[in-house]
Amino acid sequence: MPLPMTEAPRTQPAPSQDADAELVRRAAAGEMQAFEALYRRHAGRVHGAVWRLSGMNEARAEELTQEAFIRAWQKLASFRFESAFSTWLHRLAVNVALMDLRARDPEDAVESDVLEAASEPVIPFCAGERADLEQAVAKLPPRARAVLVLHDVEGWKHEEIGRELGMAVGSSKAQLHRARGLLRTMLGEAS
Amino acid sequence: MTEFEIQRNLRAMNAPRMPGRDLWPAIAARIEAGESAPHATRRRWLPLAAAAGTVLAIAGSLLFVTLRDHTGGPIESDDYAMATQFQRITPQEARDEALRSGQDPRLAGANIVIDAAHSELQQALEQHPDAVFLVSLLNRTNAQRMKIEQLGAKAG
Repeated sequence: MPLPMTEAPRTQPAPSQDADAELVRRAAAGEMQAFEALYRRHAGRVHGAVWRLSGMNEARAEELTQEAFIRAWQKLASFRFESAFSTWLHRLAVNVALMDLRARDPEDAVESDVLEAASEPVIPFCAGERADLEQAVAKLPPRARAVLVLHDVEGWKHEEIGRELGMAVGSSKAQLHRARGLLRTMLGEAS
Repeated sequence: MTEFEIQRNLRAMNAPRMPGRDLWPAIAARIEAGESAPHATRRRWLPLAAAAGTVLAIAGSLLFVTLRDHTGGPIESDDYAMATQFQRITPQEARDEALRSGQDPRLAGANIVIDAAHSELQQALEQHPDAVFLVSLLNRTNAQRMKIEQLGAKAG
């Protein structure tokens, strides 16, 4: 469900790693205030990622954000400081969103979803507006959208996407090709 | 919008976005309700995963024994090493179970164990759906099930 696209994303500054590390240690020891501080520092990045993967569905993204932080709390003691906490948390949040996608979008339904989206009427977009692009991405079939967001927005490689989505590298590339084609169609370039 | 503009705007979408409301009270409530604790739950899935792995190994063993009996010699398989370590169900036991259930006596025992492994893994995944290695084990059970089905088709 796309949101009103006139609303600009609310951003927050990137948290520092040193401060994160101290907060993680305190939170792992059971200090809720420290974990709340981690939430305040990282909610924007986590929510942004799951919001895009959920098709800009704000209600679903809020559920996924909550779930991601619950999982983070559960796994905090296993965080080994081998990477930045923000990277670890972001990856965890993406995994939560992908698990949700897998649960809601059986692999064998992808083809029909793609065909259905492609047959929908082209939306009258105003070219150049990012909000229009967000709306078009939101209309993509879930699996194609996931591949597009992970590859073109998050910067993942096809190997990583294939591993996380349980598909072959070739399938990931094919989904990306389809997603881009659908985007071009919806944005009017193909007409 | 050109392809270049689409790509540029897609990259620009990678920005933080705060939720429309403060989610912390709900998160804190779930944590305080005992839904989770950093220390108490972090290794809860290990016994289930170990059990599932063992059952999967038994399934591999059964499949190995079945294939060996069927082809008259050892097979080349990724599961060979695992299979030779966990022969807890004998071919005779598998045949007896198959006869009782009316299935192909050469394959039914392996099917039963595969089903058990699948159930164990599903249960483990419900508790820890982000455990990627459990999905890998689940994929292996499915691969083994396919091997059994292919062997059954060949055997007629």
